Amino acid sequence: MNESRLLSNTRLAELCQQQNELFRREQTNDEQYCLELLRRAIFRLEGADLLVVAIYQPWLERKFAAWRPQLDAATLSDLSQEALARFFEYVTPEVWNRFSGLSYVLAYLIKCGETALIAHQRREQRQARIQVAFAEELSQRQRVGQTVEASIANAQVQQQTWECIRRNCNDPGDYLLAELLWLYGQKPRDIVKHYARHFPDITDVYKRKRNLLDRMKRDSYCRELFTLL
Amino acid sequence: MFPHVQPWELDALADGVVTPNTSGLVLSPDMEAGLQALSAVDERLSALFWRSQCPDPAQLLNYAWDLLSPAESMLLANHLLACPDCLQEVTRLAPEGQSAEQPGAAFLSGLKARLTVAVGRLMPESLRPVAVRQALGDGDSDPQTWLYTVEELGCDVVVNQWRNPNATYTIQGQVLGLAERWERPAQVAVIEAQRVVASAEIEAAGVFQLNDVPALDYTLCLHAPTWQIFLGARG
Repeated sequence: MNESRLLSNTRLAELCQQQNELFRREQTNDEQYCLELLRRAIFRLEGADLLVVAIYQPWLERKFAAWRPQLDAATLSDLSQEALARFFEYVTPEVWNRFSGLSYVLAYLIKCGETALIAHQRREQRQARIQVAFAEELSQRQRVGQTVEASIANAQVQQQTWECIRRNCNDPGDYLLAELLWLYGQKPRDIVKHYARHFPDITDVYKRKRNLLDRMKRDSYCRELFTLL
Repeated sequence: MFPHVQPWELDALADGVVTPNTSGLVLSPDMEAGLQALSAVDERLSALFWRSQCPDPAQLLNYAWDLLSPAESMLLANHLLACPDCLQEVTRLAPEGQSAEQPGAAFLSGLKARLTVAVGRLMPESLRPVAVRQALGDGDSDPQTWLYTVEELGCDVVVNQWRNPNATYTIQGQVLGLAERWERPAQVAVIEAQRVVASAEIEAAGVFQLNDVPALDYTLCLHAPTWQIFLGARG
């Protein structure tokens, strides 16, 4: 049996720190202690996760600081915490068994931080789009404690609006076009380029889009939505 | 002054696409107002649904690291066909150095798959040739074999032209050029309504066969770990 499996969490954490220090000095080091501590954390054994956080949160902060020098200390701290939280969420025992070596695990951990950044960027971009597109309504409707996104882009409005679109599609081509235009944000030029079999000519895209919007405007089901849209 | 200008031509003009009727057109205030109104609705629809169908970054991460099941990977690859934003994020999340070793664009360029859709045993004999030709569009010299390239992302594999509930199909194919580029196993799947209805390993020389595929509209999606290798046909 691997020696590290017999050690207590505390001793493992000490040895892991020592080996990390050797690694930082580019000296020969042994990754088994850190790997075992991480394994115990993933398998939810004996509170090992707290020790992993204690060791790897400062390490992540240094990594992220080098990677994104523009981030302030508070953001770096939040980001490293979020990366660890996501790491523990994503890495199930099954996933853990597919990891090979400490450098692989730590590279994945850093990418968990990247997912947190991506989620943050998506939220910001979405909010910015909503603010621009619905500027008028938002100035009238915004209530205390309600975010911009919650007041406009809630699931119910999305669902009703998509139903309005769906019921006015005359054929699968209209539906595909609506998906590409509004769900995937593609431009007519790109649609013609990538979906030439469905839309051989750019004029077809514009005609379909205009006709679809005109039908939606005439549809009594959609009329209320159009006061918002 | 320009009586023949259609509304859609003004929409196109707003995007910088000029038609013979709008060449040299100077917009009147009414036209400007109409265009702005349409553009506002378009902008609001886009904002409302912006990336509402995109998978969580966790899914993209595990796709990039080849940690999803084959079925999950194929569904995600199907989404990536239509979503350049997610494709960009997958690239960000891929293991460092992977993109240099396995360049997605270079890998994709020139990758081709030859698909043959053969009608299942319950299909009425008389409908076979015409139906398959209609279903798959332009064919080459073999009426049941079509060569797709990865640039042709809009092609459909439709085997439901006849709405025959008893029909099943066999889809055979060969991914050309895969073996030289990729040593690991690849899979091909048929996806319908975000559900994998048939899948198979791609064997040596890129050959695959999907059996007992029921009659429906399909997206055919080729997936090989870990990313950016998929041949798409949106249904």
